[in-house]
Amino acid sequence: MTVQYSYIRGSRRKKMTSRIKNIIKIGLFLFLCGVILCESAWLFRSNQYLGRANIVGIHNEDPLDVVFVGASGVQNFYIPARAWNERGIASYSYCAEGIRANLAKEYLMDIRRTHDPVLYVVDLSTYETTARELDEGGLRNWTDSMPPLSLIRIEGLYRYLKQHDIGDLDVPSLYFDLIRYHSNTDSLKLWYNWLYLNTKNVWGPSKGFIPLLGHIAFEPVVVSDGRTDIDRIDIGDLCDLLDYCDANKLNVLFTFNPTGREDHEIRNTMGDYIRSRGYDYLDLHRCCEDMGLDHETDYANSGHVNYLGAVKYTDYMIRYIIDHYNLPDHRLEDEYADWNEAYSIYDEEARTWEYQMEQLIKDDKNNKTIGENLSKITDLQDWLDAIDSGEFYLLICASDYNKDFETVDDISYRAMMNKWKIDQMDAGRYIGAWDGEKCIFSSTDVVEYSDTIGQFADEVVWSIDVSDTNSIHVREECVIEEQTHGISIVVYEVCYQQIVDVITIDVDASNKPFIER
Amino acid sequence: MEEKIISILAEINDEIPAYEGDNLFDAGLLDSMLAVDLVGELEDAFDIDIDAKYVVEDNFKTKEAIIALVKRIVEG
Amino acid sequence: MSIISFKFIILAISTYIACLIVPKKHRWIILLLSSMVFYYFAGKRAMITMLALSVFSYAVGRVIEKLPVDSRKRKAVLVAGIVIVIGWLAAVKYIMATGWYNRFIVVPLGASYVSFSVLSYFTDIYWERDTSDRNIFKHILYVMFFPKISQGPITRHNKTLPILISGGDMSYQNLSFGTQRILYGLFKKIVLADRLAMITTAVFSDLESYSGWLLTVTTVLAAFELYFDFSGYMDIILGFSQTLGLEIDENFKNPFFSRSAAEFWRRWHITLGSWFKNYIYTPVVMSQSVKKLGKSVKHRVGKKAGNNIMKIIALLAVWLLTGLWHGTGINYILWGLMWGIIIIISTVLEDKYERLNDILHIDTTTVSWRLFQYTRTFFIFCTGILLTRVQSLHELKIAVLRFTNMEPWTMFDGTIFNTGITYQDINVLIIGIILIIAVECLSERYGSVRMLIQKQGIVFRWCVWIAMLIFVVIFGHYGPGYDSSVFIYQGF
Repeated sequence: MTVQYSYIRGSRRKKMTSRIKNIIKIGLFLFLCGVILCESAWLFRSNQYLGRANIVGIHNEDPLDVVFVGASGVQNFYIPARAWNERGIASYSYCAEGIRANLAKEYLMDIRRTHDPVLYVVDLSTYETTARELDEGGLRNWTDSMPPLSLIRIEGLYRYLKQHDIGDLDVPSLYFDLIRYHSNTDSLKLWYNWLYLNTKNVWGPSKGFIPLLGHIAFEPVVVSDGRTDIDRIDIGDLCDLLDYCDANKLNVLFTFNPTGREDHEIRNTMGDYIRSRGYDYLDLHRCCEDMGLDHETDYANSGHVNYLGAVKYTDYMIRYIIDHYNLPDHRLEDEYADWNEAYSIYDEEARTWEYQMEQLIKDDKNNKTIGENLSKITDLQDWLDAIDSGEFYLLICASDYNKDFETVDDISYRAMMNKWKIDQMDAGRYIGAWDGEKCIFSSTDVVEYSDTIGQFADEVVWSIDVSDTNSIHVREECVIEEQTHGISIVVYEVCYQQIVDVITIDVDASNKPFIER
Repeated sequence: MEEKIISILAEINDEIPAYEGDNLFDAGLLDSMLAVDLVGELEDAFDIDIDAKYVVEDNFKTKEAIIALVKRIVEG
Repeated sequence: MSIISFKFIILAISTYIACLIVPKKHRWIILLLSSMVFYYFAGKRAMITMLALSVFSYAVGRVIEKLPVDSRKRKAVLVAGIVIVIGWLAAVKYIMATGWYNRFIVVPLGASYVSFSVLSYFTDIYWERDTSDRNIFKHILYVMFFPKISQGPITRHNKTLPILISGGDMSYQNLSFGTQRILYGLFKKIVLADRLAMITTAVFSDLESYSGWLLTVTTVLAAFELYFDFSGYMDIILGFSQTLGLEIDENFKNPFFSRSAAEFWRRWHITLGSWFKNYIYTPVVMSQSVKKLGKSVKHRVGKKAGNNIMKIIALLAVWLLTGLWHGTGINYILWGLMWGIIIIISTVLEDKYERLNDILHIDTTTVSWRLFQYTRTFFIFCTGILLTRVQSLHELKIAVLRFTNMEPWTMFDGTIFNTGITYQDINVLIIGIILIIAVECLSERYGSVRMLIQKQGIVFRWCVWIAMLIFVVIFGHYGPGYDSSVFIYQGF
């Protein structure tokens, strides 16, 4: 009996060990599959690749003194190479387009995996205080730049999603982005995607600086000193961030970069709070004059400086940092020799950028002059020549233009009709939008059309209605109203964002064209 | 009777009598078409009526099963 | 609920875990609950319809069994049961074909499959081959067992229910084999079939834009698509059942290795073929009137002709009904007739063929002859595909006319990309199809390929399965951006 009993016990134990062995085997198999699948997500990601390189690349950098953290407000503003040349400061921009400052805590956590800089500069321009609409693009620009299995990434995602209305967003595909991107086999063609299989291969271009080479001119915003009630804005994420900085004794300078935005009350309130917690705060809107920022030349759009503005911004920040923080000069140290190379590459590129910007601004100023004189011209040919010599956005329409324009002999009139394809109409209707020589829209049968000029904050909506009479709206304002005859044209100057001329062209009884204002 | 059945089976497919496996259908020696011929032959030979309800694979799987089926019907 | 969905994965995993916890004796309750959840997500009204059908078939089964054998009443109940179920199925099919809305009849998932299972249940009880269920819940489980509900297999009650009730062996072996099979099924279904669907739907919805050559290629691809889709689905559900230790009837056995049309239907959609054999072919051929006709022909013309006439009548009935089961259009009837006539001709003329082969000195044991036979069967299958993929006779005419206009260069000038398929898709398809063909060849020769892999070392084994998983996850059509794909056979 006893022999039999121990036999049963033995077999039971054997069964148990084989079961445990199987469980371990299953676990190991699943783990292996998980790791391989998650890592292969890198191959299919297609978020802003320069931003991704910045974020991944920081971990391959030598020790850094200063790290700027933010979205495009850092990416297009701060030039690390200049700081090196000026004072031997090793700095870097941890940034990608649209990434939310609400997740700055996770950004700092990520940076601190490999670096311990003397100073962090966190730009709060993309901090959401009130509007809690989920920005998937910005979120993905960061989450898709992080190793798929990173705990920091998962923590950030969880925290961000918890505070937002998820709506019909596909949440699993945020955590496990392969679900969403796997069909994006086109990305397999991109050599730089393959670099990420070993993230040691990835380097941020220009240490995180990407220049904008556009130009816009706008009136500087009047800075207000008002405050808002702190209970009415959501500063939860900021509190978390400051708590984190307290706990880890981090040295952080908070900034709001100079743009055309107008929410000063909120910023001032946040600034007060940050100062009350013992951190430095700099509202750079108030420093535009010190920086020498010129709103006529230094902006690419009202939210971002162009390369010229970036130089001014950077030089100011370097001066500020040197004055307020105790930073070493590494220029004579051998370990930092790579920085000299980085600077010389920048220096060469900078010359092209500068030249391009100069040309652009010259052209735009020239354009402005032409625009200012446009409304004084009465002769059609002169007017058309003036338009040709500049770059304008034209909104053209006709509603009931049943003139037999074949019979008009005037060469300039005929040339105009042909150039803008107005002569193709047969029912007397025409809607056209021309950006210089480029046709944006042209139709001889559509009755209503609407579109925009410019991007982001500088977007201007226009609409044309030819159902009955000619009417054109720009920025919801009526520019041409119930014009019953002729071809109406609105001339818009993109850089200075203004309407420079509004005319109607028609022919008189003797078939001579004339301009009417 | 068994011999008669075996000879009928041989007529349908000469490989059946020698088959020792457990399923004539899986072996490809018998299929539903041949089964119709077989049923016809059996009905004629023994003057019986084989109802549709008996025509299932189980009853035709092996020669033993077929013999048993015929016996059952003959004996009523 | 689609089988390729997050919900289904959760349902499958939780069913598995629940079955692990619950003692073997009570596992069928878990299966019943999961089936209810599955159907709940498919639509509440559809669920009620199915429950009503289950209760109805339970009652009919009980009544038939209680009535004395050979009584008129017994027969009347059977006929009434069959008529009601078929009437309901016909109504559902009619609604599906016409889009005609009806408040009282909902189209539930897999109506055709379920009703056939129920019909076989009635008939088997009537013939005393089977006993009716006493426990209504067990009967509901037989009708609504969720893995097989939407596309079969059409299983027989006395074979399936005992397996479901007794609870299977949830061993490590069954878990790994089952999961591997699911993976293989997913590979066929979401990597290959859904990708092929891009080409075939584009071409068949716009026949006039594509040349005869492309249409030929598309028809062949559509044949593969249907096979990958349907057999992939079977692999998924049979694999899942295997993880639970439940062995359910196979529906496919390398059908493209069939040497004749008749053999094809013993390897393709096996359970449907055997259903028609058991419940249409045999009863028709054994019915008194057909037997009488056969006997009279036998006396007048000869034994052979007598037997043939019986078979022809039964086969025509089988194939007309098979056609109607697949679809209500005239093209489906043509499709059924095509298969019927081919099978009839090969049965009737079998000995003539053998003589012809002797005269022509054709050695039927060679590989090349076998390949010829495979190709011939595949060609018939493709013709069938063409018949069922066109929407109407008018379209069929267009398609046939396209074949007079082959334009072979369209294969190479990039016209194929008009269908929306990309260069990468084509690479995946080529690799995938070659892989499947290789696997089928191996399994035709050596039996189970999974066993073959299982015998290899752990490194090789893991590499195979991880590679398969990655292939499925990366190249599968699923997730946002793609419609959660609809199985072709679910409509039937």
